[in-house]
Amino acid sequence: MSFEAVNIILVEDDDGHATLIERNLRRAALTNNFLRLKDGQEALDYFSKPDPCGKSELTPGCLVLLDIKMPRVDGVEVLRRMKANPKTATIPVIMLTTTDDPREIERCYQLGCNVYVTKPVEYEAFLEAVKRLGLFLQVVKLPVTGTAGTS
Amino acid sequence: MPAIHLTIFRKGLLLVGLPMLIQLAFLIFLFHVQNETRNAEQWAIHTRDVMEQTRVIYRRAIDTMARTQGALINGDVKFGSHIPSVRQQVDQDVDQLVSMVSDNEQVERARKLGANADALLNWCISQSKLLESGQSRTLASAESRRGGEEMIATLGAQLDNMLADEERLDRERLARVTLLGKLAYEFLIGAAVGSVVVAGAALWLFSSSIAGRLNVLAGNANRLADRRTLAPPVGGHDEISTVDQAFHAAASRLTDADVVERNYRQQLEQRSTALAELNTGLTRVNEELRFKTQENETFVYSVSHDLRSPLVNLQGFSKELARSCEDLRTATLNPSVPPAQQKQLVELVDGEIMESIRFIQTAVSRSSNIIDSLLRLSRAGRVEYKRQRTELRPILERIVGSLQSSLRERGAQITLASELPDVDAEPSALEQIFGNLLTNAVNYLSPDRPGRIEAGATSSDDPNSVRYFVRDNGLGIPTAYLPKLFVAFQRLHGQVAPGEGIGLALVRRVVERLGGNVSVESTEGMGSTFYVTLPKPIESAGASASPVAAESV
Repeated sequence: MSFEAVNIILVEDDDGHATLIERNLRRAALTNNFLRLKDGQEALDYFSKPDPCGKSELTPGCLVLLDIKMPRVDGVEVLRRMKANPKTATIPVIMLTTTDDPREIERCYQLGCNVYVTKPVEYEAFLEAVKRLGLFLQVVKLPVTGTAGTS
Repeated sequence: MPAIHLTIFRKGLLLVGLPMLIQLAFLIFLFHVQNETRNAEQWAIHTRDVMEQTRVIYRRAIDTMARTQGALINGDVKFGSHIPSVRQQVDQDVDQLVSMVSDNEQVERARKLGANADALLNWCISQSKLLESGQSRTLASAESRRGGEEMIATLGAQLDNMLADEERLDRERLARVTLLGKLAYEFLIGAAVGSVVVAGAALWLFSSSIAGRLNVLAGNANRLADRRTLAPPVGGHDEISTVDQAFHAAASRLTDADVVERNYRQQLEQRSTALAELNTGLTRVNEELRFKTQENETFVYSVSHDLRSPLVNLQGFSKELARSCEDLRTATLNPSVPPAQQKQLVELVDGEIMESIRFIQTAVSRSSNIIDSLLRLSRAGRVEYKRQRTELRPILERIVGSLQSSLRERGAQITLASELPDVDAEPSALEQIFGNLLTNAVNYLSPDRPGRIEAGATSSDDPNSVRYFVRDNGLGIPTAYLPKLFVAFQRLHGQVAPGEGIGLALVRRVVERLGGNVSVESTEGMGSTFYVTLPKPIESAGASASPVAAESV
């Protein structure tokens, strides 16, 4: 399985955050397909399609970066619905949010998220978090060369 | 009853006396009738005696007359000698008769009778004298005889009159006795009836005036004993009504006392109800306050997180800008760009643009720190502590260890007391409390003298608490500032050390959540001592320490 084949789906209502995440992942030389969904409802609609990740031999699947605080349907609800549906239950989910309330984190793990990452205000810390989550999943292909992402 | 006021004694006297009086009157009357009857009988005998006496006189006169005539006829001369003795006897008889009828009109008649009898006897004497003198022819003359017979006739008539009158008198007396007997009979019946009536009246009077009222009185006595309502007052003006009035007065006083007692009880109930309401109100207010506090903390928490989101953008894009500036700088250094322009652009990028970016980043960092502090503070109010017996020394030693570089830098030292009692608290909470206090002590040391910081325990007023202190010889706190010391975001020595002014507010909140309190004594320019009072572990306290309320948000 190669990470390049994995589609990264970013569910984030804040345009700024979405831009920053995408720019920095790109700068980290991730070449995966990026799909941005603006809120929880869009995510639910997307995952209700017959084959949301287009999983096949050529496309091994997708990875979801999910924000918690979103209007209409929040990230926790999206996570709950995804894990409740056998079709989407196996998709890895990374919660990416500003909330560091232990109870919230506990709840997300109980619902079955793979990783919980707090969005730090410090930019470097944020980039570090994104890189760490890639490493954790062992799907992120760190560039051999390049200056982006590290200071 | 009429308006005659009689006591029971008088009533009783009346009840007994009245029939007695009536009976006495009856007896007197009866006695009188009997007397009269006896009198009448005597009178009847008297009448018969009178009549007999009259007849005796008459017979004597007639007898003497007859004997005289016989003597005249026989010429018995000696006859005349015993006439005076007869005459004497007749006189006596007449006197007796007169005395017998001296009470009525017969006296005159008796005297006349006597006189006539006397005359007759005188005639007899004269005849006998004539006889003695031998004139017997004269005596035998018709004239002479006629004189004697006339006198006899007169005497007979008088006798008849006398007897008739006596009989009339006798009849009258008899009628009177009969009448009296009849009266006595009627009076007897009347007395019998009257007795029954009087007895009945007395009975009625007794039952209505005394027995009935006595019953009411007895009932009232029982009612009074049972605290029931009394019957209406029994009227009258005797001992019964007096006792009844006393009962009513007592009942009324009892009722008054009852009313007073009921009033007191009502007041008591009202007060206790009011108290209970107040208590309920207070509990509700307390509950509301707790709810409000929780709500506030939840609000602070949620707002802080919402504020973080734009900060991520600000910080992120300022970094992006910095990166772009770097790219621009690199591009500017391209040889194709004229050196003058190169210099101008590089100056612009390195100077004003980068300065602006740095200001933005500093501001963002500061905002982020404030938000983090807020989050810490709100979490201290929401987190649930697991209290347990905790040894303070390892915690303090760990804190001192982490402060070593600062201590070295300032040439200061921290001394821990040899005796540190255990406490009922969660270790992480103790770390927050003493971490903040010791860090503050180090941060606000006076540059004028070597820093000396002590931590230990003092005696507590409350046997269920332990009291720790952290003492420094640092800058100290002005008295005016002391009230604001434990309020969030209040900083006194803003320029001395970095911080958001959250430390002491956090300490107070955590200590209070553990069921303790924190206080400070300070002299500006001399140093400060912070006191932390916390519950003793339950085993050693010997009494149950109040557990921290388990709160969930």
